[in-house]
Amino acid sequence: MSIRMLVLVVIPPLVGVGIGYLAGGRLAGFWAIRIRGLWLLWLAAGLQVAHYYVPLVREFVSDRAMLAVVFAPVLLWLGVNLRHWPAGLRIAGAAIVLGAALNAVAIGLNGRMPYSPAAADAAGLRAGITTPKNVPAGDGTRLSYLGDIIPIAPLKKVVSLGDLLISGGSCAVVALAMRRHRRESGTAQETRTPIPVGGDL
Amino acid sequence: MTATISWRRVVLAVFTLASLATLLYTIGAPHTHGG
Repeated sequence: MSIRMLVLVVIPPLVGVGIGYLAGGRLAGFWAIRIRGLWLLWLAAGLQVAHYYVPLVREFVSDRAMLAVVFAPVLLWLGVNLRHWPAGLRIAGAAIVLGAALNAVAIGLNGRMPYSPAAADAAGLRAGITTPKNVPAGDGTRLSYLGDIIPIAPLKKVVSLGDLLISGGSCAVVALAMRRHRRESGTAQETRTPIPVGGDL
Repeated sequence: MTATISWRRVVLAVFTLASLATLLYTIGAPHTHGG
């Protein structure tokens, strides 16, 4: 994974942390909502890395099968957590699911995620290159507007509408989870339950 | 009264945020050359 990709993926949760603090929340809010099964996300990330960098995987597993293999642990993670989360967090989680679904449709219909050569050019990337995950959009591309069409020039990346929903959703999950700390503390104060000071981040 | 930082919670918070960061890498598919 390149440094630019790393920056791109860490921005949404970090922005969520900033918004969470501005809204009076604390990272301790994560313990209030209990996020379960984070290992599923790392499993999906490991499978994605394998698809990118292990030629043997690409040789034996079709792109569409890999789509299911990578998406399944993430959707399972969302399924495990969403039913326990409060309404606001469920909406944020639903945005992530919708974003994933839009990306899955684009990838499923085209084999790989189509990207706009014009957007790639605008982002400073060489247009026309096929990667393990992306293929340039052309006349035969289906639902190309769901593909990577939004250039992020400073990071030399092109993202999709689904990516924006996933980013916004994960940002909102962090911010809303942090605000749970304030609510839990308020409830604790009302019931005169002692609040532990140590450990609040 | 002094607020102390629980490093266990710091590590868990970083782990949680890092886990959420993988979302865009897995179910998102930003176009890039070379992954």
